[in-house]
Amino acid sequence: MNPPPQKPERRGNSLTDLNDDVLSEIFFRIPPGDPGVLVRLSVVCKSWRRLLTDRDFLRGYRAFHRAPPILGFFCAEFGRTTFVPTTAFRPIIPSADWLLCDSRHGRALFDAYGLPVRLLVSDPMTGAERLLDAPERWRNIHWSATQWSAAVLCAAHVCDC
Amino acid sequence: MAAAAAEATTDGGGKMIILISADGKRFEVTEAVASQSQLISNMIEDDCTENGVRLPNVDGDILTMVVDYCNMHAGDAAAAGDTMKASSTEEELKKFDAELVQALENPVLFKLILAANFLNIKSLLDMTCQRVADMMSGKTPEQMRETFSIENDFTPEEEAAIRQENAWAFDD
Repeated sequence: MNPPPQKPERRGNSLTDLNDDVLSEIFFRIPPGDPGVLVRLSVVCKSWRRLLTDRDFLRGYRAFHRAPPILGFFCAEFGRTTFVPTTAFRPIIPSADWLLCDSRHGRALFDAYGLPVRLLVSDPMTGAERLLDAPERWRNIHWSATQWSAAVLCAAHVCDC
Repeated sequence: MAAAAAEATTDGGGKMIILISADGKRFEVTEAVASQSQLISNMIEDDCTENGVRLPNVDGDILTMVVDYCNMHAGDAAAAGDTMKASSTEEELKKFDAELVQALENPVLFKLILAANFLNIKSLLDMTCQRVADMMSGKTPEQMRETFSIENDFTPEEEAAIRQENAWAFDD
């Protein structure tokens, strides 16, 4: 009877044989300017999705690439807000009735453009939204009657914005 | 004693180290070549390479490639003093590296990644992982499964939900 093949010879024949540490090393090298690749990788199989959405992986990916890339920018003109992409990434943003007030650290703040004043904070990466009531004393100020603005303040740790 | 000391040095005076692959193949390399592996570099510092370094995770075929790579890249440091020589060496190295990773079949490439990771040779790990990452870019999930022989273990409903959540990433 032939001896069973040695373990080391069988290891590494397929990508699924690579452990999470080694797979992470590969995924780290996906360019952040093309985030769609990471999303498509996460649909390949469950174990890749688990790894790619893991906090430790995401922390490692950010550390590997240091400064995050610009995925695009908001352009507000003539009562319309549009997103101008600089990569394949397309954000999930509210309907055209909402006007952009400010954008910072992955959050965008929109104004409902009418009365009463209402504000919406959105995460354009995930589409998550949160509706806010404007402060009581400003709720019924007509937008054309006075100058006002709103801003996103970032409470993220290690953020200079 | 004198003979043993002579055997342990090269013409250039560098100490030699024996690397032993999983299938028992032996490779004699200088300390400078072997030190590109952080794992072996640490072993040299700890003075425990006397009886050869056994590498139970690395086959002889793969270790041949690793040793070739380290031999090529060890010359780089030696030529650093001569600018002209250094720049031509740099070009040769780039060519050598590109040919090395481009020519590899996937199973060999993956084994080389495992070896680079185990031996902790950063530049080799970088190069081989980047090659796989480049192969992933521009592919649909179906093409990635096909390229890397991966079974889809999502239900159609689960996959559809993820695609819908991130529809922008699946635009053709």
